[in-house]
Amino acid sequence: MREKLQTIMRFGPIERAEHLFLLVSFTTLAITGLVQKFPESSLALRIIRFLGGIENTRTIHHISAIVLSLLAIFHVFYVGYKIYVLKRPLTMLPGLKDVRDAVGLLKYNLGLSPRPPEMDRYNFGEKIEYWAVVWGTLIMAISGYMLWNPVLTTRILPGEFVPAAKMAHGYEAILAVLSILIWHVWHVHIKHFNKSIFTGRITLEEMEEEHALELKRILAGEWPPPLPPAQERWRRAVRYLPLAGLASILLLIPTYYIFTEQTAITTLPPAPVEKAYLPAKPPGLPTATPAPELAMEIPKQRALPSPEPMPIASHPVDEARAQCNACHAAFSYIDPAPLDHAEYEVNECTTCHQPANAKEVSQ
Amino acid sequence: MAAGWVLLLVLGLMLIPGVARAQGDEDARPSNEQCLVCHEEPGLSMVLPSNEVLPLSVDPGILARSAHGHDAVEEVRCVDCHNDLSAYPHPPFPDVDFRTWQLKLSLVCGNCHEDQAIDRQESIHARLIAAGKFEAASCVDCHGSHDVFWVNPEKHEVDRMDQVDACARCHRTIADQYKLSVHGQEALKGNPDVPVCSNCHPAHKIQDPRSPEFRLRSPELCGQCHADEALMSKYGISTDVFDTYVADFHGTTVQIFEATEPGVYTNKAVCSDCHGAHRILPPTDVNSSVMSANLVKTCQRCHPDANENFTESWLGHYRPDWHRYPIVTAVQWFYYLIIPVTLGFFTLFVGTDIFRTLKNKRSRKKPRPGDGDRDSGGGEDHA
Repeated sequence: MREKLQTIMRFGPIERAEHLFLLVSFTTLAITGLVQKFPESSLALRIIRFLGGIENTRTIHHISAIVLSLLAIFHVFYVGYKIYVLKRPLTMLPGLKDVRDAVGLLKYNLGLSPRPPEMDRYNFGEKIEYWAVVWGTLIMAISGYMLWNPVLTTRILPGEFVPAAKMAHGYEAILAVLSILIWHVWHVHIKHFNKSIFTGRITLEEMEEEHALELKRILAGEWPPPLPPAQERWRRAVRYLPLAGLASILLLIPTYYIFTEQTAITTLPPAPVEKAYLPAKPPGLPTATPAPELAMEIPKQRALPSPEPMPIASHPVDEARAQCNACHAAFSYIDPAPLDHAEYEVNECTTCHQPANAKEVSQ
Repeated sequence: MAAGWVLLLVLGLMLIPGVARAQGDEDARPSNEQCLVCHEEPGLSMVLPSNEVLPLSVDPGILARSAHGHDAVEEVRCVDCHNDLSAYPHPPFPDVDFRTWQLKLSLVCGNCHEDQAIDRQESIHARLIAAGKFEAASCVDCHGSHDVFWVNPEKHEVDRMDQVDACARCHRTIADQYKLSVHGQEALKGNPDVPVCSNCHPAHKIQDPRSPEFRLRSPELCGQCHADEALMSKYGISTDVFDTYVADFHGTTVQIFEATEPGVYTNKAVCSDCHGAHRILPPTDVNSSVMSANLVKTCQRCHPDANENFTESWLGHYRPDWHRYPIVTAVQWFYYLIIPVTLGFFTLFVGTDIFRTLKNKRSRKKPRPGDGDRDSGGGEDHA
């Protein structure tokens, strides 16, 4: 019989799917979380940039958290189903034998015992990992939801629980990731690649090494224990499933509220200063000309040109200064001609502007 | 009086071409005295094409006392700045209003002060002017023109409040706020340690404080002083403020934004969102936004549903300790204990497992689980 049984069935499709969801959500959570814990690392910043910025990274983290939470809720009710309806034995519960196995394997590894211990369906290493995941998920979920919903949290708990949750979330993450890297990666990837959680099947050799006791029971026809009769199962399922469904919904309602908390405004904080530009006086005319204040008060509207033509009082009109507009053009600096004079010819100036006192000027 | 003015004017007019011819190219520039022949006369003015009246009189005393006056490293002449007016008669005033012309003329500052002029090109003032907001400050609006004053504290003693006053000419409300702040109050007393405007808004490369870059960089700005152990110890202020900010959610996010998306706004709080920007008060002041009784209001500006408990979730720039934050510290110590114990156990176990696996591989024997049934069992089936 053993020759034909090269592999045996170890995990059903639901367990395999659960592991796949856990694998994807855990990895995503670890990556998107650790980059937030170590933002000074250039690798973290590169990952954040790759994921489209920190806000995107957080959204991905939150979505993965929802996936993991739903998986956890499902797992609890699925385990309940297996125990209550299918009457499966509690193979994952730790016991004294696990301590003995751990000591036995340690002794064997150190050469103090000739053989490794015979282990059951779940050996102590797998139980450590399973319960570590349960513990870690619980801590990460509780602390994570507190960080995600600080307003809701502080309505129930003192404020200090929020930074405490942050402390726990960060350290538990490091513990979880390092545990996976040491314990999980060694046992099922390096020591030998155990693909049974993906394929569902395990080789007899692996069974013999890691689950010798279970293999013996299978070969002896004692395992798996028989399912309860169909009628009994049906009776129990009718009792269990509605209850489980109701409980799931009761769990999902608060979860929904947790996801929809409006922790903070989505706009920039209100500006501290409303008006930045409020000059004491309008900028403009040069400072420190004799009296800047006076200069400011000069009305912008130019006085109308006086109807009386201005007499020429400052200099004689001689040969050298016959070209009036050389100095007194409309936009010049010295007694400029009014704007409406622009069209006048030079020789027309003296028509109106006579030397004030010919005698005085000619001196 | 009038006769003297006329005489001077005439003499001056005659001198200009003569001097220029006599002294060759290098000193072709008319001297200040030549300009002042006319412009010293009080009350001179002209009407601009825009109908504004431009005073034309210059007080020689103000010129002489300015940074460009007697103490100047190099002689600065009127025509060095008014470089369109070296000839007489002067060319007609361009057909623009006074401010447009002033902004154009103030570009000549860069002829000598090149670095500052280059820096200024990136400033918010220059950008606003380029965008048509001519009221934004040019060189002369802060430094003055004929009365340009000393600003280099290494060379001359400068009253730092002069600078605040210069900014206040346009930003009066902000300057008033600043003067009420803990920084402003100390600055008014002459304390050189506190920042004045330019310590946070460096002249001349003055940035738009509303820009995402400025917002993201602002904690570092505060950190320049508040993370300086020597400076802060004088006032008994903790230098943890910067590190504890960066370690917390707001600061971490701002830091990540600065590194990954420097041009994007983040609404996570920076220093000024809680402490204020200009009217920063010590946390012991009853009016301070971060004084414990006012904290919930400050939090609510961003977290409208926050309650009193919520404010305690911010550790107030303290590092957690048993005395102040026992729960946080307990969690911390729990992990200080459990991480090494767990990982130590894992490492020890995996280490012995690696050792055994390698040893078995070398000796090619693989003892199977169980005790004596190896020979009678199916061990050979898989050999």
